[in-house]
Amino acid sequence: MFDYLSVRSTFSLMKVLHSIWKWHPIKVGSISITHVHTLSNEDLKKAEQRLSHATLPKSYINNGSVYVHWPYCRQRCSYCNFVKFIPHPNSYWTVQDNTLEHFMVKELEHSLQHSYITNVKSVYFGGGTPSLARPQMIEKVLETIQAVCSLEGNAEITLEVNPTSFETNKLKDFKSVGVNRVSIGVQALDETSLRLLNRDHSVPEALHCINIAKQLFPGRVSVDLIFGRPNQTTGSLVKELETILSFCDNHISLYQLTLERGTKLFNQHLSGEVKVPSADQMADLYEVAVSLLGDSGFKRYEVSNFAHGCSAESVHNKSYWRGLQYIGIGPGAHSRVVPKNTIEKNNVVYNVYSSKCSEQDKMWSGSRIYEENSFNPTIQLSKNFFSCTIREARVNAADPANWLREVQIKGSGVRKVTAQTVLDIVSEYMASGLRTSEGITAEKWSMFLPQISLFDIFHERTLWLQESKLLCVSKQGLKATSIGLNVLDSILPYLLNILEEKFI
Amino acid sequence: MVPYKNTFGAIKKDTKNKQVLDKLQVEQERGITVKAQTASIVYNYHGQKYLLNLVDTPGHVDFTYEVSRSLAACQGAILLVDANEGVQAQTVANFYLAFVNEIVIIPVLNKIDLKNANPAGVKEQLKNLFDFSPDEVLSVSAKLGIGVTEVIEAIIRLVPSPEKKCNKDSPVRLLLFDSWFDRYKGAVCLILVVDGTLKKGDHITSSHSGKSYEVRDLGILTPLETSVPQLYTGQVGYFTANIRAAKEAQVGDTFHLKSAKCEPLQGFKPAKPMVFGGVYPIDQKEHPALKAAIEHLCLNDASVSVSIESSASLGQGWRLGFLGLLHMDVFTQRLEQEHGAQVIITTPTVPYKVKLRGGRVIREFGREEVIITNPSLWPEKNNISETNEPFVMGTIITPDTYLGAIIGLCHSRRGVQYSMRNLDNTRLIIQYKLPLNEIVVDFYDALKSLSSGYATFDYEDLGFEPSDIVKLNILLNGQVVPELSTLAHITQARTLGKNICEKLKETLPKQLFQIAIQAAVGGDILARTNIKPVRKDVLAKCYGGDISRKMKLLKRQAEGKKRMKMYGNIEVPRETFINILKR
Repeated sequence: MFDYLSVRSTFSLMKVLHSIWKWHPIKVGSISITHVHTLSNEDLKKAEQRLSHATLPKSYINNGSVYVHWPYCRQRCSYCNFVKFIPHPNSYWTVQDNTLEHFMVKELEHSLQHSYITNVKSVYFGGGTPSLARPQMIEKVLETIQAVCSLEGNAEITLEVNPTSFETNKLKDFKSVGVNRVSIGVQALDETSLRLLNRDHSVPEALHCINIAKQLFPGRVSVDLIFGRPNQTTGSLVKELETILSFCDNHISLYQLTLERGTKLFNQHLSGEVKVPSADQMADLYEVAVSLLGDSGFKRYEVSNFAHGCSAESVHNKSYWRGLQYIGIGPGAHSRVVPKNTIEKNNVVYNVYSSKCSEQDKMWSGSRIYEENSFNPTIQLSKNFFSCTIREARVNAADPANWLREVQIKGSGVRKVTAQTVLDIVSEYMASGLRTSEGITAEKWSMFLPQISLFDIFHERTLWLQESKLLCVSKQGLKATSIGLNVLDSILPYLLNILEEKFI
Repeated sequence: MVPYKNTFGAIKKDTKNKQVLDKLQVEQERGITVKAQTASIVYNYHGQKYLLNLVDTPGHVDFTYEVSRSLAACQGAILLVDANEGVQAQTVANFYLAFVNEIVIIPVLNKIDLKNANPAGVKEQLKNLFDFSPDEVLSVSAKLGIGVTEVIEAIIRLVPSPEKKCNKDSPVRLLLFDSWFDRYKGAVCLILVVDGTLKKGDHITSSHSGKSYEVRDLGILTPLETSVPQLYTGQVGYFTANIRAAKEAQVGDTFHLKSAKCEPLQGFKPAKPMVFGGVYPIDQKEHPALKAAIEHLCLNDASVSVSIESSASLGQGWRLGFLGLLHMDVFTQRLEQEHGAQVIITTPTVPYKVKLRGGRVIREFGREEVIITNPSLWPEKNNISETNEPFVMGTIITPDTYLGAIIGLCHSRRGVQYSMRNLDNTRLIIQYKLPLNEIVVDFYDALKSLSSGYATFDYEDLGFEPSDIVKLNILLNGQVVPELSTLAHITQARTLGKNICEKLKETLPKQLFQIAIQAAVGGDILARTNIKPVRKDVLAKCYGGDISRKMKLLKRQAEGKKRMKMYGNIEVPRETFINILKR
């Protein structure tokens, strides 16, 4: 293996390390012995020499947010393909609240300790149906954050709420443990739609929930709506939005109904039992909604999110779109974290999985599936720099029982880790950042990739998109126009290719 | 026709031997003969043994090449007519082929055992068309063995022995009239021994190439290959001589004894491809496999012309020239069936002849008259002084009830009626002069469907005649897409252009801006349609987990875009091209 290394001196470090960390398949959930080849000191030195300077400012690596995934739901919504489980007393996936909470806390502690995050700016409880969880869960999570690092004083603590009266009644308790923002899953304001979507609440219950929430969390209530439902017309959507505008607070998330493979609705659509609006009708519905909400002072600050005033915008969600770090806790949760098992030297973060890692760390990384990132960039300036890992994308085991076992054994429920290079990071930032009215800013870009300016990469190559009034490119950054935002997914592949060319 | 008689028992009379000579899968499926096959039989007649060599030839006009090759090796022909269906268009063509070769023609009605057989009616047709007296016409049922003996004996009585054209005392001289390739033995050459006697171990030389070979094996086809020690003058048989390149076994070539001087026999006219089609692998990775498959098929079918073609949209492929439509169908079907090749076949086209104007362009093309098969090579309008297209004489035989519909069809295809007469009380034989390009795509299908399958069609080549041919361009937002250009008669350009525009509108994905699709000849826009821009294409939700999923999808799309053919900013996926260009 190491002969190979010396022959191919341009071979990227990450690849070398991958080959070092070759292991045999590991049985899930059992304590496993990994066959780890370790580097000699000399080899390591060689490897280090190949590393160039991958820098991320402290402001990036020290800040982050936390997402907690509550995996249970009372019933299955017909459109939902999220990680969720319906608890049954005897099912293997049903874990006692106490246990689940305990291991969530364990995982949170572990993940924070293995990151550079010292300051948590927001916490989001999603699911599943997190409003079914006990308020203690939230309390424990927030306490843990404060114990391991610090939770910012005015941190946004959001809870997704399912608007049944049972859960509405718990809002007060949730507030008392620290929740300061709620997102209410209203979805539709007609009973037929609620039945079709298999929601477990009624329209009056939802409206009641909004009212109570507004009293408890004034200025911090969001409602979720789904448009593009079967039989929905622009007329009925306008009516529904007008009603919701008269009830809601200052934030609306409006999602297009998407038919996800494997869901009941998808099958109903396949069999012709239900018919969703055509592509053109969807475009009509969306345009009508954006314009109506705009007229009512709700600015589209992201493709599906509308806020009345900047302060109403979701801090937590914006951190996703800005490419910041987040730690996901609980079954099926995703994370984006700069891992701590790296060598730090002169403000330079290298990500090296080396023999310097503790035995525990080896065990910790050893039972995951490592994925080579698919862009496989090589760079004109310094090939090594751009192919070295600086962040990880992690996915937790989806099944609560498996997740729990992983946490028990390794301290974390992570099942899959994908190493992210600078290119991966900026690609994600571009794909999610352009969804926002802010766009991607030169300032944030330079945090990831100070070597090449956003303007220089994109200005000339996107003139045709600019002339078609789909994209704005300036020294300050890149953003989609309001028409461009509607068709962003058709624009992004071009931008990704332009970006990728810089890495070849 | 296969003789049934205990006398020879060449082929057992049982159900497993239904199509002994039609060996190819495509032949058995379509019930046609594509590749001429031979069989030799010995028959005892009036105390004398006769060796008869039978060559079963294709009937369809596309395979005229095969037929004429076989006729050159024969002294007589059996004109076999189905007693139910009566004379078909191809019967007429083949009759004349044998007639001009001045060989004995024995008319025979087959399938007389069938319920609907009408021997008297068909005999009347043969009388009207070819002047055969009803008494001359033999009737057989090959299935039941009725009349077979009479046919064999008629052959012995009427067909002259080849001895008149042969000389058994001269040094050996062989006419190669068919060959196929065996991966172990090399080319298997089917020959007529014109002069002398061929023996194993003989050293023979090709008049065409001058190359010499040692005969390894020789024999007759019964119809299986059966080795014999020698082949005598006038006999038809095969030999193998370790001929490793199929090109060295050219049909029409004369082989002679190595040392002896020899006057080559008159070779055959080379086949002239009349219908051209692009052949591309569906997946470019399959290119080498497809290449091997085409080469292999061409070993046995020298009439296919092959030139390499590369299309920006379809990749590397070939432009193959065929004798006709059925030939093209059969070839591509064999590619798929015998070689498992997945191919895209483009719409068939015909060659055009262009007379050029202007010294520079004539120098460029190297001559004043050029044959153009590829629209991309079409000269500029002001460099053309005359355009010509190939015409054919089409023969249609049909029950008279479909006459109106058939006339309508022929007129819509720029046909000009040449003749029409009664074949019998209910059937007509009509001849139309038609441009070949009007019949290459779907004429036969249209004819079959409007006559409920009763009309038959065949055609013969009439050569090039002046005609107003133009190049039809397809434009996307003003930019020509060269792959979609076609050559068409000026009167058909608008309809064709409209069709292509509509097809494009259906298959070209919406893009970020409006796309104007136009069909134009020179500066004249003949058809136009628009594709509206995409209005909404953005993921509804994009949070933690969605981002990974979205990135995966985006990367795939971005990869796809890199391979996409761009015209200006318009992306045209390969599927769109395939949909428009394929047959």
